[in-house]
Amino acid sequence: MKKLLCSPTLLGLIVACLLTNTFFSTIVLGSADYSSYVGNVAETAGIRVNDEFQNQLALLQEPKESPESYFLEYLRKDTNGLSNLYETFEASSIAKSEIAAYGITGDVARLLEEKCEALQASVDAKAKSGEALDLYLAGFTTHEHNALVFIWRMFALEGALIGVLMVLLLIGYEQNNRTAALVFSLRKGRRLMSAKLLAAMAVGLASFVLVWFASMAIYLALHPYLIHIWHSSVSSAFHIVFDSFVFRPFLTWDSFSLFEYAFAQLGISIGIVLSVMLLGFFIGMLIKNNYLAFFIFLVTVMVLYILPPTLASIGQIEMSSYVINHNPVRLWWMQEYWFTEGTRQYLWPRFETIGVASSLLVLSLLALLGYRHFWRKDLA
Amino acid sequence: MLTVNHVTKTYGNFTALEDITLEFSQGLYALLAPNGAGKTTLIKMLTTLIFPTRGEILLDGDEIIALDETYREKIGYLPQEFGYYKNHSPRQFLSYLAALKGLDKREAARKTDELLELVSLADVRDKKMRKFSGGMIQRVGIAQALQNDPRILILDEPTAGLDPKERVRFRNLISSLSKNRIVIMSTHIVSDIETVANQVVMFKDHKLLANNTPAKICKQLEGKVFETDDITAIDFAHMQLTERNEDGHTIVRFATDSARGAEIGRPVTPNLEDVFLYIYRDEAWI
Repeated sequence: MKKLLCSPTLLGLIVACLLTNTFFSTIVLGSADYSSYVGNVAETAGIRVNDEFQNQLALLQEPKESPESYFLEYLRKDTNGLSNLYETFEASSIAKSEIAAYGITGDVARLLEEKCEALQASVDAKAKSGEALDLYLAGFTTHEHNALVFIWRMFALEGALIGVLMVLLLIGYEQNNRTAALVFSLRKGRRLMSAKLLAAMAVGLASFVLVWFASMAIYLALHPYLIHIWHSSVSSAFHIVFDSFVFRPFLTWDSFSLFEYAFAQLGISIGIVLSVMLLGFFIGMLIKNNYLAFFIFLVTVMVLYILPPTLASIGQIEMSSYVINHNPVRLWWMQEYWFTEGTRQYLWPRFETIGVASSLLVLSLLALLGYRHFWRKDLA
Repeated sequence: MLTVNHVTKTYGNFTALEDITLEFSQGLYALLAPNGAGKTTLIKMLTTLIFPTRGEILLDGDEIIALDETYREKIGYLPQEFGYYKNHSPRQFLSYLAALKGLDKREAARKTDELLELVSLADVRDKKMRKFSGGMIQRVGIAQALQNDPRILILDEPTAGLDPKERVRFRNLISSLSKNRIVIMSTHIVSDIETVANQVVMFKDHKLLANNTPAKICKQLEGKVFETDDITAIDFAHMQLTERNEDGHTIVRFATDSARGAEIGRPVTPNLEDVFLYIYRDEAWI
């Protein structure tokens, strides 16, 4: 672990990630002025669009012809007549629109229907809690939320890259220093690889969490208005998803405030980063050359990305594509749908949780197999 | 006893070692062969870095692969290419290796100091190794190989990089160590082992060629090695071995099966170098 912590590569990667994230945090400032205004209003009027909120909004005055006066006007329009849409929303309509839009039939159609039927309980709970009436960032909620998810997806990508580089750097350390023949002939030499994996996972994970929190701090410093709506539900009526040619609300299985959703995202991202590190370890156990191992890792990532849609296009093994779609690469790609029903690409509820858990399980087994292979592998 | 039992190692179509059978008990065994003959392959199998394609290696009747760590804790190994961490001092490096050998921390610290003294590196024990000469690095390698007081000491080209003085010291050290353990030393430098090896193991064409005492190995050339200061006078098949200058004359040592060798040259006692050159000749006899 000391070797990794002292590694200039790690420090360089962390700095590069922070710079990249700062850059992206800056360029997603599209609706900052209005969002900032909404955030300020939320600070005084609250985040729930109810009578009290409307009364507070009615009392607000802004100088004529000022940008704030326009923002106030927009906000009044945005919130005027806002209804608790979950009271009338039928989750089965999601499956229906997907089935109709893509001509889905058979077991896939049945499973999609079953999944959405199961989602109705969440809709009913949201109807009761009235979270559709949460202000979030009003008319720009979707844009801002997508910007946040984009940033989180960047973080997860960076975390995975740092993680896998840490794993490969550490398991190739003896090879790079020409100490492999000596070290692996020692009593605990080959056992060292498991210690290296644990060290790399600890350092990789700590680096990811550090980058995540530091980058979020930078993001929030650039978008301070988010703090005021931190406790708004992500399933606010202002958060709309365009899927299967229809607009629908962002419907999560459980109720999340933006604050909770950020940490839920972090949790799943950690699972993905760990999965990718295990994949890197498995490849590193099979391939001696670090650079070749990294190349094979990249190829594997591409295969994991294109395999599900490719399999889906082959009718007979369509169902397998839905299973393989739970791999960490596809999960990462579908980050914006985490904790929702996951669109027609996932047939079972809570795809992100199932995906991360099964990825960790499968890749842990693969890592174990790789380690066992290394135990009996010619090393020189 | 360490037994190599009909061991073959292949890499695809290439056979690195073929059907090798050897037994090692207490003493110094020199693996003598030119580069590429399979010495390092055998050593890597003895250190479990690689595994036999066929055959088995046994320690006191138990297969070393099955013994695993129990076997590895009994060996000390100096690889041919001794890598090290440049930013470590000898003491740090040896402490790290001691941990990997599963040695007790306090005992390892004591042993490390003792060994660094033995290899004359005590005064630089805390200096970073990046500025060390090849000979100093090799001495660190020798020290680490002795750290666990190994029952089996395996040294692959251990004298590479050592100056003549260090070479002699090393030879004496190895000679004394071989009195109560198995020492297997690979080399292509004959003088390293000529006087100290109990047994010489030679390979040719990836097969075992000889496994005998130096005296018996030399005996096979008895009556065939001569010296002359007029090599041009030889008009029969012979093989030129070595040359040296003596009183302004160039004395040539040669080997021949011809009975006329004694007519031209003076018979001499064959040494291991003669045998080495004779066996591994790569040119046709003149």
